[in-house]
Amino acid sequence: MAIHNTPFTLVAIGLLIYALAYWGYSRAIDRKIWQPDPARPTPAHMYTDGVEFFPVGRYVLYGFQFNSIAALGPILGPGIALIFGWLPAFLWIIFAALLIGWVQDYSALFLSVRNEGKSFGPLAYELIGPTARKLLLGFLLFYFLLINAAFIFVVAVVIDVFPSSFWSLLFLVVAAFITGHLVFNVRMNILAVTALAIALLVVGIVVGTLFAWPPPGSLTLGGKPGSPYTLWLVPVVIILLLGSLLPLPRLITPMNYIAYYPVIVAIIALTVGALASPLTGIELAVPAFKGFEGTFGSGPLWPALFVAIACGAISGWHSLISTGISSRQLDVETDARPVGAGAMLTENTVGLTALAAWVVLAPERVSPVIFPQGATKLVAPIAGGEAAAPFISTFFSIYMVFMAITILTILGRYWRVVMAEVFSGTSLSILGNKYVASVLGFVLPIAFVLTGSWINIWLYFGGTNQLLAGFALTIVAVYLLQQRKSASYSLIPGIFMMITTLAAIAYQVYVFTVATSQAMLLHPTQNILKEAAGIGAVQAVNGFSVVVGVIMFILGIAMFALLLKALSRAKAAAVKPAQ
Amino acid sequence: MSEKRSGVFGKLRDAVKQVTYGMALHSQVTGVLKTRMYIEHLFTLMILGDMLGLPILPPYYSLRLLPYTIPSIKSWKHRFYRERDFTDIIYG
Amino acid sequence: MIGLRQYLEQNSETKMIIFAGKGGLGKTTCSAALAYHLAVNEGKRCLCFSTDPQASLSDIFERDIFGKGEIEVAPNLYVVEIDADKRIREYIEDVKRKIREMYKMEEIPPEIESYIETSAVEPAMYESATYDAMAEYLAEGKYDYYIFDMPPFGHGVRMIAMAEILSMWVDRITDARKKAKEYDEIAATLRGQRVLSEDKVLEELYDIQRKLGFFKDVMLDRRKTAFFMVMTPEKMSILDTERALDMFKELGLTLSGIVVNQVLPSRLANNPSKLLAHRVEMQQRYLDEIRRKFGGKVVSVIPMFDREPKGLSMLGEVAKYLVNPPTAV
Repeated sequence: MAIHNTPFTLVAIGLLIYALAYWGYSRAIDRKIWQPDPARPTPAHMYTDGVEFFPVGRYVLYGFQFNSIAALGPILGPGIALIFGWLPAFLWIIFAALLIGWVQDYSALFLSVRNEGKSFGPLAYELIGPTARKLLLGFLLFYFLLINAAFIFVVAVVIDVFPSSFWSLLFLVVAAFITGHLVFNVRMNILAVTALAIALLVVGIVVGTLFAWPPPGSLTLGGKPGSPYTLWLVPVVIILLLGSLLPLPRLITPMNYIAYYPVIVAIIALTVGALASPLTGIELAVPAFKGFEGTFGSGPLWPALFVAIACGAISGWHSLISTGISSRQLDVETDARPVGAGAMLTENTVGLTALAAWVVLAPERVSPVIFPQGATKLVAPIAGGEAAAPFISTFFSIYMVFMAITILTILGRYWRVVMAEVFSGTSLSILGNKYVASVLGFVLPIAFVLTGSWINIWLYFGGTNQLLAGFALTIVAVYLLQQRKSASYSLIPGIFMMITTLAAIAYQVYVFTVATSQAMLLHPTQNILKEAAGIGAVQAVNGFSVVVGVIMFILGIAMFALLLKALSRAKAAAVKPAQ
Repeated sequence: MSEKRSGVFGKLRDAVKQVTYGMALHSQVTGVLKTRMYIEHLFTLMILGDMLGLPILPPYYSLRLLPYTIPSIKSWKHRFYRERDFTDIIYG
Repeated sequence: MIGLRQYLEQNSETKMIIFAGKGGLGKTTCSAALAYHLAVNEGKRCLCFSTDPQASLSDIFERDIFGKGEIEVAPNLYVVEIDADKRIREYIEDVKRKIREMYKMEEIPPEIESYIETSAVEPAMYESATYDAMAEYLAEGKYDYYIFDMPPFGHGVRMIAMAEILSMWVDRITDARKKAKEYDEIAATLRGQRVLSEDKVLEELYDIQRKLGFFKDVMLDRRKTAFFMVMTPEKMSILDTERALDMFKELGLTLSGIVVNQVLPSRLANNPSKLLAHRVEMQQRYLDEIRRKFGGKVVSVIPMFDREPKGLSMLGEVAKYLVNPPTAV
């Protein structure tokens, strides 16, 4: 058999490029541009408070950074990118990994380290101006709605097709309550608690798989498995609300802790599965290249591809973690590269192995549920074969569900606090109420979910996410120019990402506008809404997406303009000789 | 954490242990510490509110506790006066 | 009218007796006389406590006891006159010494030093230092009776309100501290460590809590604490007493009784001195008003003496009127 036609080739080449990115390009940038000085005190040492500011070893911080940036993005993005064939997806992943992804995470981290550990908002304020910060706040609110929408959509659909994953999720929630109690109240030894929690998870997977009830699609309106019009949304939103309203240690903290273990196992299993593919005989099922046009929903390769593969290539979310959290705990400046770049390249690996799982199946229609099926196909031969396959599918479906749920609960809390900040003291202060804000944060996204069109929501989410990354890269460039340093390694990707994502958002606005004005169904599932509430309801749902898209676009353009102004200011100042 | 091990395998073990801690537990620990800090600052405020211009109860017993708050006065004032940004609160 | 002896017999659990009222009406005299009676006539260990340097116990007992701690002036009769200013100074020095020792500092940071100094001169410090001293004696529990001559501020009633607020404040702080400790332990558990060190702050807080709590509990317990107002048969005094009664009600307290002091014997109404005769007549009018308004509350009536109430023998004389049911005056 041909080795070049297996996922092995993709992963092997990818890992080589990543090694090059880490030991070659990132090291050169580190030495040439930022010039870390181990003697220069970092914010962790300057403002030590033992809570937010304190030095942490590079291994710990690397682990923390990776854990905080890992989410659904790298897993799902490649699936949509396959509309254009596996080659463009693969090329974008390794190209971004080499030149863009780590550049953002690492540079944002360094920027904050050199600026008293400031977080994104104050950095934007300082380097761009007060309006930039206000725009950012508005932008983030919608950004979170879109993440919520994209992730809730995925969770609902995956659970609908793999009901076993719901029971495993329930086990996770119960295990989290128990773990929380044991750690926080009983103060049991952490190793013992961990063993217990993992045992519960394993039981959850086994019970879920054997139980596998109700059959796929039975809770779905219209009875078609894989539709987002599913009643599974109800328990999922309830769990999310619990997570964002209960005190952190009750549910979220222990849940994120336990969920970490399956995530690590999944990443290792996929990597091994992909590398073993020449032995197991799993081949690429998707054509290398299908053309530039894409579908009506996705639009052409540029810009769709570059926003579809979100966090696996580059993600704005990471800059929020790099600045303000990791930057305050970096021990020495020379750790910035292993932490910032190292964690991102690990995330790139998650994206790469996810691609390996996607490409082994050639489905008619792209859906999130292809991933666990592909992953099972890839991994089952080395992990127990046919007999184990149902358990492995459950495992990979909960991998997705956990990745989504853990980040959603954190976003839910964040959204709540930001809403309170935005609306408190205004005539709309009710929107800042703890309960109202929480419910809004998870119910508004349902409006997107009702479009039934996963691709469009995902591209919206990816667009805003990558646009945020573009902002971060450009802000870094402004700072470097002010410091009279070469900024092109960050500026070029920054401008590229901003233009690409604005184009992608604009295209999606166009798609939703066409759907709204021509009373068109974006996705067959919208038939259900049409039959239940008439075409007007479909138009309302699609129209809502138009409105949100337009707002995002306007905010994005305004920010883009501010950034360009700041850039030219910084350039002008840099040209002038020092006084 | 634990004492440093020597040799390639020892170092590797340390690294794996620390990465695992970082991934699984570090954010939970900082979360807990943050909650603790809010309480500590509340405590400091109850004792030293006058310092920030907030009238507090008769200072008699506050003074008895004052010595214990000295280490956190700096970070407490830093935090009290610093503008909290929405991008500061992602993880609690 | 029953007299204080009978009151104490009926309320056998009484530990603390507080005399309140405006300055100059004889609070200190009453306190000293009651303490004298209980100690000397009944053989109970008594502590008489005063903070008021004007009408001082030093004068009454004819000994300089100001700021000198517990002094036994007669068998079982101990007297304390607090020097609040001195106490504050010592306290402040203590705080500063502790800071220097805890952090091995030569000099206290100027910001903190000045904070401490400004706190020291706040008027509330004076009251707090007094209450703290009272609470400390009470918590020690060495005596059968504690007789407090309240400083004249706010009829001494404010002290009760303050004790309550203070102990609430301490409770809140203690809660916060306990929570903080809990979170420390959780963080340690997550890191696989154990916290062994005890929290010094909690120890201090428990100490304050114990002291204040005990003080408050005794003071708010009707059976353990008796409040007596001292008044004179004058218009101003009647008005003040009415106001004080309202305050008591607001705080949910009951006034145990009223002592009417400086009463001129009624037989002087026929005195050739017009001045005296008028004064007596006036007093009789106000005594009627007192009977009407606070009738049931009056426990003792003490006449005006021909000498200043000074020295132990004179106190014995006053005590007779104070503890026995009043005969007609």
